[in-house]
Amino acid sequence: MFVAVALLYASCDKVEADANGYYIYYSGAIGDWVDGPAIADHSPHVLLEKYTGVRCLNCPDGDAVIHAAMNTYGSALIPISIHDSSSFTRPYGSDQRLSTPVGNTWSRYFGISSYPTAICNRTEMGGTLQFNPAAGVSAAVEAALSQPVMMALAASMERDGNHYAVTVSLEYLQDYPNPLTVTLLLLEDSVRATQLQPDGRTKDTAYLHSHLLREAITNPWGADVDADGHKGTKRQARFTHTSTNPLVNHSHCYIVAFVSDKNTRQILAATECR
Amino acid sequence: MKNIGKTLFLALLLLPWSAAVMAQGTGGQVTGNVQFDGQFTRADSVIGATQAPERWLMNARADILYTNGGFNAGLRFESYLPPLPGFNTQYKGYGIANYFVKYANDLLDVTAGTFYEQFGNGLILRAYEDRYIGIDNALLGLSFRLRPYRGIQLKGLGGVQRNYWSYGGGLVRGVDAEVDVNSLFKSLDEKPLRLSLGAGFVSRYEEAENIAAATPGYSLLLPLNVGAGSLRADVRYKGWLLAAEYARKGQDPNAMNGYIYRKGEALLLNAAYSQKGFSTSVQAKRVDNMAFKSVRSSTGEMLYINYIPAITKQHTYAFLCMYPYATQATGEMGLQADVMYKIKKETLLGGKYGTDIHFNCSMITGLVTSPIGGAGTDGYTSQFFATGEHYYTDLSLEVAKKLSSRHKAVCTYGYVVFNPTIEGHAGPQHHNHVLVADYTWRVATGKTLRFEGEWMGSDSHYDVEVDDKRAGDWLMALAEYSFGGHYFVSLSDQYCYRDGVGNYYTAAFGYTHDATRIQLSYGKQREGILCIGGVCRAVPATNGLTLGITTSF
Repeated sequence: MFVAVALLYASCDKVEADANGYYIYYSGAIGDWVDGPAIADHSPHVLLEKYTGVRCLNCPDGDAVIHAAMNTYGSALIPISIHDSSSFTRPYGSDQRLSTPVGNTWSRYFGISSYPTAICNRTEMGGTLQFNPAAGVSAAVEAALSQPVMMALAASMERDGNHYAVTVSLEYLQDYPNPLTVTLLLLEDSVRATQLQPDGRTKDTAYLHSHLLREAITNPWGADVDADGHKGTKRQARFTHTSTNPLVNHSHCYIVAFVSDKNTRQILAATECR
Repeated sequence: MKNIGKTLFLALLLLPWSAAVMAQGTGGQVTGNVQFDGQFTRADSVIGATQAPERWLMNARADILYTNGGFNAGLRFESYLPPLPGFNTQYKGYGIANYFVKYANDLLDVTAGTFYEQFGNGLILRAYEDRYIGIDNALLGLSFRLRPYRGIQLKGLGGVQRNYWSYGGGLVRGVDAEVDVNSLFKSLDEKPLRLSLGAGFVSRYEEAENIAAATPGYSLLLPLNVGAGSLRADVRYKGWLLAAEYARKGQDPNAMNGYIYRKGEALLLNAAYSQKGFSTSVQAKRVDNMAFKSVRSSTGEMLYINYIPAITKQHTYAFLCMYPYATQATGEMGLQADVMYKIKKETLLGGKYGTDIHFNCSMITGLVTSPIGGAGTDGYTSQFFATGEHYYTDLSLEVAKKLSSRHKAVCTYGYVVFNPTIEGHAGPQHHNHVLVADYTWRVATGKTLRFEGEWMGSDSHYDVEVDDKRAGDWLMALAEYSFGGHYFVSLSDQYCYRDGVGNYYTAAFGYTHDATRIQLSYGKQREGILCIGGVCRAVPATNGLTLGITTSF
C-alpha cells in the first residue's frame, strides 16, 4: 500500500510558475508577435561584434581586451566573436571551420578588411563605426552606454538537445517609429581550435574560443517586429530552432538577441539568455 | 455506451447465469428493482412552465442483480425518453448504463465493470449516484478491497467516470487504507476506547490540451497528473465520538476554480455525544479549492471525483427546503450543531408518551481571500481561520409529541438566511421564518389522516428581472388520507399571498402493494432548487400529470 501511495504521489505533476507568477507558456504561431509583459531591466546593453580569425596574430590580444572589458562592464557588455570566410579564418589542420554564413553576410555588408575589427551596437562611436579592439574597447563601450535607452529587451530559452525555443520580449521605452527587426543568434563558449599567437609563429592548439557565433536563428538581418512604435508598447514573440551542426556542443551554447533599426541596422537593445 | 463491445460483454455476463440455471436448477438468486417516473407536461405562463415538444417525459430504470455465493453480477438499464424536467438533457437516450461482475471472499473483493466507491468522507473520492439529483459518477474499471489482516482494509481502484451516456477522458486511480486499531490487537478488542485510522490517495490523469491564458498567444501549463490525499482518524469512547479528516489536493487548474493553480485543502471535524434520550453533535468544515473532477474542463454535475459533505440539515418540509444550501467546493467554512432530546414520559412536559425536541443550527460562510490573479496564477491566498462573506444560516427547532395512541403532532420553527451568491447570482440576502404544523390522526386501523400547514414569512420580494418565484410570503396546506392499507389520496396547495406570485396545487393518488407503489398526481410545481447532501439541481416549473411506479423483486 505504501508503495502504491508513493508511486501515485510520485506520478503527480508540479508545474512551476514563471518569474511573474504565471503558469503559462507561449503557444502562438512561431514568430507571431503578441502583447507581452513589462520588462524590469531598463539598463543599457552593448552588443560588441568582433571579427576575428584563427590566423590573425593580433586577435588573441583583442580577445584579452574584450575579456577584461567583460569583467568591467559585466552583463552590460555582450560580445560576439565572428569568423567570416577570409584567409584569416582558414582552419589549421583538421580543425573545424569557425566561419558562418551569417558572419560572411555581415562581414561583406560592413566591409570588414582587417582583423580583429569590432563594432559597437552597429553605431558610430566617436565618428567611426569600426575599431581595433586590441587597442581598447572602453571608449566605444562607454559611448554606447551613454546613449539613451530606446527599448528594453528580454529573452528566455528552453533547450531540448539541439532544439531551441526562444521567447523574446521587448518594451518601447521611447517612441520609435522606424521599423525594427529582432535577430537571434546561437553562440558557443569554450570551442577548442588552433589560434595563431601574437608572435606570428606560435600556434596554440588548445586555444578556447569564447562567445563564438555558430548560427543565426532568424534571418541574418532579423525578423520583423510587429509593433506600433509607441512608448509603452510591449510585444513578445517566440522562435524555435533546430541546430543541425554536428560540431556544436549544445551544452556550451546560449542565445544572443538584439533589436535593430531595419533601415539603419543600428542596434537599439541586446540581451542574452542561457 | 451503446456499442457492440458492450453487447458482447453483456452476453458474456449473462452466459454463466443461464448456464448455471439450466445445469443446476439452483443457479443463485436474481433480485432487482424497477422505477418509472413519467410526466405529461402542460404550458403555464403564470408559473413559467413550458410544454415539452414530446409532451410525455419519462425517466425509467431497472437494476438487476445476480448473486451466487461470492459471485455477483449486475446491470442497470436506464432510459430517459426524454428526461424529466430538471434533469440534464444529455441524459436523453436509453441503454445499459451500469454493468459489473464481482467476486468476494474473506480476503478479497474484486469488481470489474462499473462500480461505486468512497474513501473516508469522500473528500478525495466518492463515486456515487443519486437518481433524484441526476448524478451518477460511477467509475468504469477495476476495483478491489483487500482484508489481509483483521482490522485492516485496503482499497484500490482505477477507471474512467461516467458522463451521461459516455465516459470522461480522465483516468482516476486511487488507493485507501483503513485500520481499526482495536481489532488489530486482541487485548484492545473489548476496550471502550476505540480508534480507527485511514489514509487515501487519488490521482487523476488527463491528456494535455490547449487552454488559452489571458495573455494573448499563451496557453496554460497544465499538470497532467493531479493528486489528492487525505488522512483521517476516528476515536470513540462510550457515547463520545471524535472524528477528523484532512485532505489536500495538488495543482489542479480547472473550469470550476477558474483555472488557478492554488493547491486545495479540506478539513472536516465532527464531535458527538449520545446517550439514551439525548444526543448532540458539532461539525465543522473548511473547504478551499477542492472541486476535483476527472475532466478539468467540466462544469456540470457530472465527473466529480470527490464529494464535500454538507453540514446543513436535510429538511423535508416544503418551505424549509425552499432555499437549500448548495455546497461551495471552491471555498467555504461552516459549523453545525445538532441536539436531540427526549423529555421523559410521565413528566409535566413529556406527558404519557414523552416529547421529542430536535434543535439544529448551521452557518456557512465564504473564505477571506486576497486575490493574486486570474487564470494561470495561484489565484488567491486565504486566511485559514478567518470567516468571509455570509452564505447561509439555518436554525430549526422541532417538537414532536405523541398526544395519544391515535394522535401525533409535530411543530417546527425554522429560520433561514440565504445568500443568492451560493446559487451563482447576486442580490440581497433573504431572511425567512417558517412555521410548520404536522398533525397525524390514525382514524382507525389502516386509516390515517395527516394534515400539514406551513407558513413562510420572507423579506424577499418578487422581481421580474430576477424572476425568482420563491420570493414572497407563503402559505401551504396539505391533507393526506391513507386507507385500506394500500391506498392514499392527498391534496395540497402552496400559495404566495404577499410580495410574490404563485399558486401551486397538487392532487395525488397512490396504491401500495408489498414492494410495489404506484402514484398518480396532477398539479403544479414551483421552480426552485433541489439539494441532497449539498449537491443540487435546478427544478423548473411544471404543470401536468405525473405517474410514478416503483417495485422490487
